[in-house]
Amino acid sequence: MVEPLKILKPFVTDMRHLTSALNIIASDMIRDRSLAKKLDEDPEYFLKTYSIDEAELKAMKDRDLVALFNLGLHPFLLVRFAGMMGILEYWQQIGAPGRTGWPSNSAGNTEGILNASKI
Amino acid sequence: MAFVGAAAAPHSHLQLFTRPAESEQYRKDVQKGREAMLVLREQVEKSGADTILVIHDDHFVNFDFRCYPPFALFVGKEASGSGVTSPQEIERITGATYRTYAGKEDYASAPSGIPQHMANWEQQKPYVYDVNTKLSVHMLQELMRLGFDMPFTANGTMDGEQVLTTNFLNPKADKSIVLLFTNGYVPPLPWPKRCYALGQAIRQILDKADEKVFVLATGGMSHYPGTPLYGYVDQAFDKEVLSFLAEGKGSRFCDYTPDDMMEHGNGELVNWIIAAGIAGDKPATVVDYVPLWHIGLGYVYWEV
Repeated sequence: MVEPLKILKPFVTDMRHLTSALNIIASDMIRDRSLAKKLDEDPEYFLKTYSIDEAELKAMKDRDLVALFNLGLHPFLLVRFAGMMGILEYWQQIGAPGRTGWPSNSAGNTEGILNASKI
Repeated sequence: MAFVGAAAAPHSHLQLFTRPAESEQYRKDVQKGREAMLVLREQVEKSGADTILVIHDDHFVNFDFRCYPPFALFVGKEASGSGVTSPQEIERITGATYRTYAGKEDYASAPSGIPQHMANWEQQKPYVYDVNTKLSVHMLQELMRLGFDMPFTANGTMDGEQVLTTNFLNPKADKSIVLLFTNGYVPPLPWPKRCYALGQAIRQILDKADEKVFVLATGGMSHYPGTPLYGYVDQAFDKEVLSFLAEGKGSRFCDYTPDDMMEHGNGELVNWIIAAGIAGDKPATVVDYVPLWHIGLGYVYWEV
């Protein structure tokens, strides 16, 4: 028996996206793809520029989608963040039911950042 | 009488293309949905509409966490957007024959794996639609008079989903549009009873307007993008909604809370609820319901 509100608690009930600066960062990354590269090249930039803490920065640097969901990255922006990071089938990493038999993804592959910057 | 009909239709970009890993049955289901879209298009033509009011939840294109309004009326003269795949492919599937983007041929679709909403949307906008500003400004003034403190915006970027649904129902772009943006996925959502009341207020305005307006609500049905429930579809809830709409009981939406909507993966029904408020408790025709592995696609129309 699926209990959606339990699973969606950080998002729907706690509404962590309202207060987490992760969402501002992800929104800015969409508009400025060079920002995505800074995650690896100059991570301190995010601590200096945005109101995020070490745990949030680590989750972004690690491309840890489970942690990001729990910390309050909005699901829609999580999909975009995953895309920018080259994680093609994000739901596999967050343990969603998804599609049975779907090919495995390229989680952790940063090639997507480079691709995205060429758009 | 200026309200000439309404439809609710999914805006999932996966109606336009299927990925190589999908099964033959999936492709057939997607095609079934496209055919339902064409039925809705017939309703638009039959209605004699000159304007389409498109009610659509913004996908972080015009708004983000710096400001995310529950509703926002677009007041600019021109709305534009990119599609989710090449214009040729979009036109092959939707039957869109116009090329209002003459001179704006520079087009790049999103690379594989990048969410399609992002496709080139900050650069050239191949599809450009005329906005009925007489109606949009009038609606804004009247909604304020009727007690709706309606936000307005000059940001009229249409995401790929909005372009998709608009192309299907307005393939020659021979009808002007009015855009009403909503918040369908960023809790706290507007309450269903407020959405329905907004629809009722819009109906009052349309009834006195000169234009013949067809209402298009996009989005839905059950899906949970970006969450650990992606791939789960609450078909029972979807069918419950379609059932009461067919019975002419759209006001039953008012019994739901925003949490109910999110629980069932149906935040985007805020758009449908506004349309139901405009149509009133009148039986809708359910053209089809096509459950895919990641979303339930519902196709509905109301006649006047």
